[in-house]
Amino acid sequence: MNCPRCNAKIAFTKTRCFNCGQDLSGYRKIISISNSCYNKGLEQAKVRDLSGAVFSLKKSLEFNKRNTDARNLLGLIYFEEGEIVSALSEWVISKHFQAENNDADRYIGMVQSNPNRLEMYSQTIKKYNAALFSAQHGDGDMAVIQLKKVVNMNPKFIRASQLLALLYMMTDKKENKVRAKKLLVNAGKIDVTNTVTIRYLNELSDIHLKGEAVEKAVPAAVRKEPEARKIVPQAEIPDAYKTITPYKEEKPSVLPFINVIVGVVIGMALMGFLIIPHIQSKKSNQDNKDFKNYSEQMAENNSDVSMLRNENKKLTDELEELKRQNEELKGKGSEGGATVQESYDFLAEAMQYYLDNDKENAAKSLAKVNEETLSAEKTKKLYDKIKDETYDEASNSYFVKGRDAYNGEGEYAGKKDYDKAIKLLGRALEYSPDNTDAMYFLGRCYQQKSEPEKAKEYYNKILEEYSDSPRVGEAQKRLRELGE
Amino acid sequence: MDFEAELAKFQPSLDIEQAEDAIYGNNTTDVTDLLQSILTGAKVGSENNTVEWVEES
Repeated sequence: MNCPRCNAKIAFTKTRCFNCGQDLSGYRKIISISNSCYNKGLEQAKVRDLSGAVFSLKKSLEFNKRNTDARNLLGLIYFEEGEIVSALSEWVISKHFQAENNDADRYIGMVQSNPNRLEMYSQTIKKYNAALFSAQHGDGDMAVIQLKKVVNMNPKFIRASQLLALLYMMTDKKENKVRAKKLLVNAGKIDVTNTVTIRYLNELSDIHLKGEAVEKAVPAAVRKEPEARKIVPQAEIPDAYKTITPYKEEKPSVLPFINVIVGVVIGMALMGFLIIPHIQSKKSNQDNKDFKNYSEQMAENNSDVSMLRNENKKLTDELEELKRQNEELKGKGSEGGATVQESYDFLAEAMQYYLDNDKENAAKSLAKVNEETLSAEKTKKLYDKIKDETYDEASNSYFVKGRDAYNGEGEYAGKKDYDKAIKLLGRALEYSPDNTDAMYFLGRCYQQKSEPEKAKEYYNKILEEYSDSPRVGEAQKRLRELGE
Repeated sequence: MDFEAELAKFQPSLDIEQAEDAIYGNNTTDVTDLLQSILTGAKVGSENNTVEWVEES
């Protein structure tokens, strides 16, 4: 304590200044009152009666403006309420009065150490002032937008919360009143005896937040008039001493979102356990059915293919048969003989010679006919008729020529030719195998050619097979000549 | 509640730039100042041995 007269430092217990002799009893009384107010303010601040604490601390400073403890505490309370400039002012003044060992140094350092935070405080104040200006000039919507940002940035800024709550209350919308009440409840947790907060909360007494106990209506007769300054009991704000959480704008509950997710999960599970197996089963059945149809189709196709193959084989055989028949008709006859066409051509040729009475040539042409190819009965009869009437004639003609070649007469006069004779006589036998004359002269030819065995063969054939032939005697004579 | 009246009660908050003015404007007189001025006056009075009437202001 300093002497108010000579400013000498004196112990608080002294009643008179040792320097100037000034009576200090009155001064001590003033300092005591200031300290008492500070103590009261400190007690109030401890129970978050910030409004009451501010009143007590201001009173303390009115008695003694050099009470740095009171001033520092007042700064802290301003800081807690979001009034940064007021807080800094108190701490700077405190520093002015007590340069050494002052807690204000620490408080100022704490604020100034973080430039971002200081900038943030500055921004909140500017936005609050802009919002207040907008609200007082009828632009409530803009003010609400600005104040939402302010409250988000500094949830302890009580004046901003109160102003935003007031603007919400002015809209008369229930959801806005709920928001206003939330803001005021939070503000009430910072300063439990703020009269503005309490007054606004009373206005919103019909609004109940989630989890808030609803007070029963008190009959008018029982209701007491409120006292001039009512201190809110601690029981009404049970969280008064808890840490103040930052204000956040009411957001949609997360519960519906969780419900949606749970619903989706249950839906997926149902799909997984019930619907998908059913779909798979259905698909499997469909696949089986398709496979069965496919197999049936395959079997049917295989059957068709087999049937077609058989038909093809049958047709191929028929084709081969027809080709063969066509070949027979067109070309080759059986066993290398004349074909049907050739046979008929030779038959026609023989017919022509026969009609011209040229029996030898008719026989020659008829010899070329393949008898097997003549299927028609009439054609065969015609063939046999020409054959009967021409072959004997032809055989005789070849015999005469053969005999002339043997004897060297007629066409072969003066030049015997046994070989030629054998050939011609052989032709005579071809036309008529029973021509014994031709047989005899064949034997003669071979005898003249000194081929007695062959000659004997013909002579014996006449004797054995044609015993009634006029050539039998001659044949026996020639055999005897040959030693038989 | 008269919302307009309530709105009018709100005052702008002091800006950081206005802190200096706020500090210099906080030159309040406390009871100790009054006592000191009384004591100073008494000292001067005793030195002059004259007592003057001080008009209330």
